Amino acid sequence: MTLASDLASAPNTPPIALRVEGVSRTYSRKGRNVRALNNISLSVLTGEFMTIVGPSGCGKSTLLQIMGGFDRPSTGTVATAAGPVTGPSRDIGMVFQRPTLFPWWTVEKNVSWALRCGGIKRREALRRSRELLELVGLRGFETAFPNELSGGMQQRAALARTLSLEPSVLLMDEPFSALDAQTRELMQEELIRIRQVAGTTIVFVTHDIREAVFLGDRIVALSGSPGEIALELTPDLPRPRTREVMRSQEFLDAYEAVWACIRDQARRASASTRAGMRQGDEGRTT
Amino acid sequence: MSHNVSHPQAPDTTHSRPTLRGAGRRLAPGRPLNPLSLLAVVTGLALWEILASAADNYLFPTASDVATELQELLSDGSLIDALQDTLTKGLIGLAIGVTAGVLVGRLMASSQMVADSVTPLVSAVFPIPRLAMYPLLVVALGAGGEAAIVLVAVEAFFPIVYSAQVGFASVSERYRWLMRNVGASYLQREALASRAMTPSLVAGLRNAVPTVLVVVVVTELMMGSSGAGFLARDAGNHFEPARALAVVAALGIVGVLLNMVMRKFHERTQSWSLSRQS
Amino acid sequence: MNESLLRWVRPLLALLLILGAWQAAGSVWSFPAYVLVPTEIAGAWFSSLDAEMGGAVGATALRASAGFVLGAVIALPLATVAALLRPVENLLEPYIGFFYALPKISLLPVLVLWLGYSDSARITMIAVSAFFPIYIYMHAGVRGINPDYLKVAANVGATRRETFLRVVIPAVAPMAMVGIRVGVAISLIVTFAAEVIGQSPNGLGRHIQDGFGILSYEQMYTGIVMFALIGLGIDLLLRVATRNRPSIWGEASPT
Repeated sequence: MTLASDLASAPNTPPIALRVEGVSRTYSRKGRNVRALNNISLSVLTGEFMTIVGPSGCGKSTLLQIMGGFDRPSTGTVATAAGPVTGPSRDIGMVFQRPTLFPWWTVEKNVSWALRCGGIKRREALRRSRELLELVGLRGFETAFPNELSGGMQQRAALARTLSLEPSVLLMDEPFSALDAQTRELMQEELIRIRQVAGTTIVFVTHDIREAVFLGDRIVALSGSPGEIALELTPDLPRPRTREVMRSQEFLDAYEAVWACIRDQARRASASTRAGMRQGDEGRTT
Repeated sequence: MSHNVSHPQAPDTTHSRPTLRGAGRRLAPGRPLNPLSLLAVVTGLALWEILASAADNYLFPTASDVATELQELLSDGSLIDALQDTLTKGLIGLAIGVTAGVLVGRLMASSQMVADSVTPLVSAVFPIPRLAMYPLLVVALGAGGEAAIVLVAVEAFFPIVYSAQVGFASVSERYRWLMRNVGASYLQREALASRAMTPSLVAGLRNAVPTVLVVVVVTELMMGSSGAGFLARDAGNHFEPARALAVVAALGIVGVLLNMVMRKFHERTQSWSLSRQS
Repeated sequence: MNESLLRWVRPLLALLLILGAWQAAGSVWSFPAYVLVPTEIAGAWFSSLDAEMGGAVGATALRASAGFVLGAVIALPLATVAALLRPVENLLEPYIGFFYALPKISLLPVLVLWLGYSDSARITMIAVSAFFPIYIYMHAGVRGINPDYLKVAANVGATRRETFLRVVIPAVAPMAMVGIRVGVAISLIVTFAAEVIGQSPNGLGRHIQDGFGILSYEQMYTGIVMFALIGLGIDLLLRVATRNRPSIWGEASPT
């Protein structure tokens, strides 16, 4: 029994937290139309941890931005249980790749401000922010400024801020890519722990296949240019996750499946980059 | 006026300076003109012409009046002479200031002790309004161009000494090591260092050049007897606003051209920077 | 503690060395009359401290402030609007570009024709000169706001007012402050130039010009020293006010 099914069977909980239907995104760049996403449809179940993985430039960040209402799709719709997504709202929380804490406030002010924007009174907001900071493992650092914290700690604080919105869906855009390898692994485990407690529905974007398979209940592999769903996997891995899982056959099979799917795309992408560079060299005059 | 946009950071090497690359790009025409910008210019000129004609006051010359005056000034040679005078003073002062700046910058880059002692002094002296010393300089050096040249040299010194120091210090360890390894002579090493610090120097020059122009013009306006600034003041004294504005227009064009040249120069030498490659 | 003290020792020593050499040279060689040694300058300055000098300093400071404030009040909002609205920027760009490259002081004779040798002319000149650095830095600051900050504000449901006051303003503050520092320095210099060229009846510029007229070297030196003190004093004030306090100045400390 997974956490997802627990929540899904609870009364009054809609089974689907976020639904994406027929979403495409086209940009016009230098007169040409570039199709970043092509006809993406998926449904995120309540309580589910979905990871979206793909090579750079495959449009996964774009998809996440559209899911969060930070970008408009060219075609298609996005909706949560609360209704269609037309713009950013407190219902869908976003954690960005680089920690975007405001450097002019302390960590707890950053979090409590988010609460106050939701109408919560100052004292209550401060109390809740401290609770959240403790949850993410930042007890004792509440009055620190973001500059004084490491990248990992800043991301924890950013997570706390986003969790304070009590969103129905949490979107995470490669939140650990900017961190060093050790911190990244630590943060993965922390995220699992926090999710155990908070039970949030999460859509997590990454380019790291191991991370995607390790964290996700369901893994969606995106192939790029234009971005399309190439594969959806729900490997049967035990919850709660521990590091040992990575040595299991199930894990390795899942990893291989995703890698095989993405590999060709990655190869093709690097080949076109090399060709483009050669062309650029020839075209350049000193 | 005698300061340019990146001056506050210029002598202070302990903090990084905010980059204004975007602003620099914007301010140098030569980029394809946006139709709205073109419209703004045309409309502005048209408005000027209409309003000034309607005012029909000697004090408010129309754009065409100014253009006519400009033509006259050019044809009788007075503008060319004046600009030549101004630019010559500026160039000589700049040359002196750059030489001094490069030498001192080199010195500061070579010895940490020197850098620690001198840099704070330069930073401290920088906020002093150096223009206030001009009358004293005139007393010392006479009313000819010498005083202006000295002032220009002093003004140019500051951005140059900073960029020269940064430039010399930026020659990455690896290249210095390489040169020593290969047995390069002192002269060869210095040649490398000079080549390597050129991009930074040119960046400093981009700041110094507009400052130089302004400083010369101010000195001519204050106590000058020749040059573009004098020409403008003279026109004012003779109650000829059209002529004065013509000089202003000419100076503006000179300023814009100088900026364009410096920008091109800067772009050309950017690739020489050694520090980037390591 | 030791290290920060050491930081002051070296430049201080260097300064004393230079001043000492200057002083010594004065007693060994005979300088021309217009070159004073440090002790003479200090002496002249101390004896110049009277009500008249105070008046001169006040007048100059007032002009510089008025011109600066006028320039800033126009530059800050204009830069913000231009940075946010492309059409406005495109409209302004040719003018800003041209006038930025122009030595604006050359406009003073025309301003004088229009407004007479008045404070209106002088202060307008100062404002026009201070406008540009303030505009340029503010513009860069607004352009350079991390777009993710605004996304966070939208995510959190902050109102426009809240976003502007609590996110945008602190985000642009460092750059704006740099522009202000440059603007202040320029205001001071242009005030001097405007007082001299614009025939001001009072002020430090007038003080130095009078000294020049009667060939009183002391008077010129005291004027220079006063200007130096004002310039250094304001710069120090601004530095102290914007010292690396992340609560206000965020990542980029303007010093």
